[in-house]
Amino acid sequence: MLKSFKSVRVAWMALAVLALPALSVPAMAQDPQAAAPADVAPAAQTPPADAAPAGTPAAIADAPAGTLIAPPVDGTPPPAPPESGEPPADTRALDETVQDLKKDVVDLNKELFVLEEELLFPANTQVAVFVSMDIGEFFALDSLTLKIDNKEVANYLYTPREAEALLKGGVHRVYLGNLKVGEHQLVAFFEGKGPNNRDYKRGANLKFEKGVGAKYLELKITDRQRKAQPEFAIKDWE
Amino acid sequence: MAVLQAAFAALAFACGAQAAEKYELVGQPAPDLVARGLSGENVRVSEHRGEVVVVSFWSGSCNTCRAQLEALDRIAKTYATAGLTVIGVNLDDNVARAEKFARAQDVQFQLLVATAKSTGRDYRVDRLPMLVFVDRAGVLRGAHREYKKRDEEMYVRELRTLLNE
Amino acid sequence: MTKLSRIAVAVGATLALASAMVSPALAATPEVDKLSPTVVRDLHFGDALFYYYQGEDFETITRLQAYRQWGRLSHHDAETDLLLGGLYLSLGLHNEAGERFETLLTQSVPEGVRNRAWFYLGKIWYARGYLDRAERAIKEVQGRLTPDLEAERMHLLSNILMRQQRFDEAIALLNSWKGRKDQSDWLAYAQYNLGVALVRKGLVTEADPFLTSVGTLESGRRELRSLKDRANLALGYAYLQNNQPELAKPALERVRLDGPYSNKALLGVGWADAAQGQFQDALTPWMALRDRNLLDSAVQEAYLAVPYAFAKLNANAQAAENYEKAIASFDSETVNLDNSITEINDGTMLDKLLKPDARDHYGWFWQLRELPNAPESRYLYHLLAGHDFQEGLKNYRDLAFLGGTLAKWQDSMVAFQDMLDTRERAYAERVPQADALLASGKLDKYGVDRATTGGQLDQVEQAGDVAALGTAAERDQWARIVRLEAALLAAPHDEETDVIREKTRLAKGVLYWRLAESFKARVWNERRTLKDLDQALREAQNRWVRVQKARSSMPNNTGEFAARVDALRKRLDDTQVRLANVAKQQNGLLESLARNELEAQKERIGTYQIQARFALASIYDRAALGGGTVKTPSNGAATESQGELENVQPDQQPVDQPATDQPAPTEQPAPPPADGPPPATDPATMDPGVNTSQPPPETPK
Repeated sequence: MLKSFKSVRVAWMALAVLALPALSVPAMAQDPQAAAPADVAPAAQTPPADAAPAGTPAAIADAPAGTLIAPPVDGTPPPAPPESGEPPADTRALDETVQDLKKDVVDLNKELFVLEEELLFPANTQVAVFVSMDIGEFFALDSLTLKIDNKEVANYLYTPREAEALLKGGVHRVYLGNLKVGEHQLVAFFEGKGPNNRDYKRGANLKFEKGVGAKYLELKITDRQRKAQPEFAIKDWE
Repeated sequence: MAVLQAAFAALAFACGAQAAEKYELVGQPAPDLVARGLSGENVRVSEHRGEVVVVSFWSGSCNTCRAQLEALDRIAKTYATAGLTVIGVNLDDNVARAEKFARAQDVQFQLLVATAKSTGRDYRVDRLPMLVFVDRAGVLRGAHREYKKRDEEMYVRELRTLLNE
Repeated sequence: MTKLSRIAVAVGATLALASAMVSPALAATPEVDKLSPTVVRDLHFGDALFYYYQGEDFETITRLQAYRQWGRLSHHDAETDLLLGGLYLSLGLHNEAGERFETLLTQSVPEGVRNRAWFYLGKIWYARGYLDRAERAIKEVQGRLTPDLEAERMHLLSNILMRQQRFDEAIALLNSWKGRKDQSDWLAYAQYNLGVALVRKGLVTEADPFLTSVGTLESGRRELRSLKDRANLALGYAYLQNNQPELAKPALERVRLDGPYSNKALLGVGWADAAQGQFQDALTPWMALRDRNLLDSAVQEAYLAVPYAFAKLNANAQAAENYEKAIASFDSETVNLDNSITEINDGTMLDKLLKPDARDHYGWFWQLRELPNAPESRYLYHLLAGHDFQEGLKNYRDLAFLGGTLAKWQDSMVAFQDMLDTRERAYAERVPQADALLASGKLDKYGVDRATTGGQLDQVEQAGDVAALGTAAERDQWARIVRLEAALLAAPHDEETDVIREKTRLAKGVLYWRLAESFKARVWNERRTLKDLDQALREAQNRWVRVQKARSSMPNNTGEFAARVDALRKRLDDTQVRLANVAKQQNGLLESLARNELEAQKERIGTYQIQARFALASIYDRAALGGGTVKTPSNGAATESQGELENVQPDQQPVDQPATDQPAPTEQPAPPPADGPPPATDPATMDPGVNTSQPPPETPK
């Protein structure tokens, strides 16, 4: 126990210090992440909790002189000087390492994607079938079936999330395969629900010629001809 | 990470592994699984990446399946906020009957029917009920065949490991 | 639903929230920054968008890069850059994002695209802490962006200004911003920032309406309720500092009791009462605080504030008792902290935190966050809410996801290798066959034969050599007749011989006539056969060429692929190792953050301890000076201090002099400006790992 005799005054001051509400600082001052997470991967703009000086008497503007103890800063930085904006050294090094690594993984992933397609579906035999939607009214695509030369090659069930992506303008590459040069036939069916829970089932077919390059076919679900009547059209992208 | 995951799978499932036989797909990405929910919408397991997914393969004609579904319901409710999703996948051929069974269950999690025939094969389902665990990255981490009451504890232990990641 | 005929909206970055981990079952997919409606002119661009609209950022990046490499995105160059930039941003790859946007600025792109590029660059600089550059970038934006981006831009600028303490400018900017009716979120944040800026300038009264407006808004959303608390807290403490405790109290009382700011609010309410001399009232919130987690600084202060209030009420016995209680609590907490620090240093803390079967050191975060009842978790709840920790956790999760992706590829590589091996073997069989065939020159020989036969037919036709096309029997007959004719030439002319001559002449005539009749048809047949042969030859030639081509590309092709597969396999393995290392580093960093946190707490408690002891001593002093002892449960202490009091110097001031007991206004540590709401997403879809306003787990309810 600290000897207190000489320091009655100090003790008294300590009491006064105690009384300062600034001892506890409003939350807003202290948590840099109290900012909504909307911010882009915010770097630690405010110095981290433990960087605050343990006690800066000057931080207490009107504290009586001779105060032994500054109010502990509960993990809050004192009025921040204009920021240098540099995160502490060791966090940053790791951060950079992580970024580099992420970038490398992204690149590597792309290389693998490219290799796979070039190896399994080389350009001269490749056939790709895409699905797109151009619908004005509500239409929930449920499933799609594809046959090439009478063999079923794809049967895809669409989740609400995927159907929504199509409605927004996304195009789904539903089938990727290899075909020999020559004439082939594509037959496609789709099923879905329209407004008022009405079911739609439509089909379409196309004879196409496979040449020496990659062949792209687009299955367009559209209600251009008659509104609220989804129809199928197949486009051959020569 | 694959090294880590393998070592980790070995450790974490040490207990479970005694009860379960080896599941050959452990460590591989979960095969595509899509089927229809009771509300008519298609559900794809891969859309739950980021969460831990428990897939329970069941049939209406198997009694222990029901008990397992109940246990899973409890687990699902407790750990939902931690990022756990439970999905029941029915493997009955007769879709109408499958729907009837599904509606008769009183569980909060999704039950899927009209599953493609290939799903059972893809997942190597050889007995019912069968449970598989998929981690947050979409990789299969374990499987359990059949069900006994004490299994519920084991599931919880293993799931907490996965949820920790 | 957007009625846009295959209109893919040209895109920009979405929300910073889109992390590498896809948040499942998005209620509202990320809002896309619309440029002008563009028709999808390249199917593959549409394919990338299909994944983008589902929030599959990583997949989108992969496809865009791959398709671009194959030249399949030629109609969407600028859009691809814009989209990639935004996606890189959301993955935390600031450098890459910056590069994309800078590329856009060098092209002759429409102003709208240029603006967006500047805006996102500004965001990037801000995120990395380069405020000057951020400001310059933001100011490069000419004209206006879409309303949402415009709101975000204003906000970003105000944040930059405030962080540089340029409050006047911030105030002017925020005052001038007029959002739209449906931008109430942004408005709230703007008001908050404005209020804080005014407070920093000492204009509390001016700040009041803004902070009160935010402090009284109704919202079910987590972020807005948090903002509301912060606004009330800021206003309350501003008034306290301004010596207007009666105005502070209503604001503080609006702070949620079960929210992350309730401790400070309770403390502040107590001080508001105290400042108005109502110490009895002050005891209520302060004593409530004492039941809470001792590691919260507000709670620590409450431990001292309670006896302070008692002292003010002249209840010295209770004051002393409560000081001793405080000291005891601090003491035991210090011991606990020491133990925990030791455990971290030993590496055993994590083991303790984990259940026996879950030895995964990387996963302890979830337990700490989701299980507030775990006895050890309370040590670190501050830490868990901290920015560094959250960033670290996000990084860790991202890395785990990436690792999983690579693991899938590793499986594929094995399959590719097998494929190539099979191909190689097949080729190895067929190559010698192909070579032999090509070397045999058979095709050439056939060509020569054809030419010869063709020539022969021409001659026959020209010469009218009907006999040449006769059947075997006819040619045989003809040959015999010719021989007979030759023999007859040498024979004498008698009656017998003449008859034979005549018969021969007739036979020849008949045969000739027969041959001549069929000649044309036969010529035609032969020519047709030659035509068929020609066709066959042509096909053979084509195939020959193809075989030659395939043969010449055969070893290159497989070898090339095999080399690529090998190289990529190695890269995969290396990257996995790197991932593991970085994850370890990340974890190490978090451990040191934990250690630092505990040390800091220990220090803080130590400080409070000293104050408590001083205060306790002064009470004894006061009691001694005023006569009598202070009866406390721990009599030993009373005796001890009494003994010491004998040595009090005469010139010391009596303790109960009217002192400036009033809370002295202190420089308020600046509330940082709020960084803004998530534009246009449902926060329920946020990855919880990123949500940094996670309330610290309170005592078990």
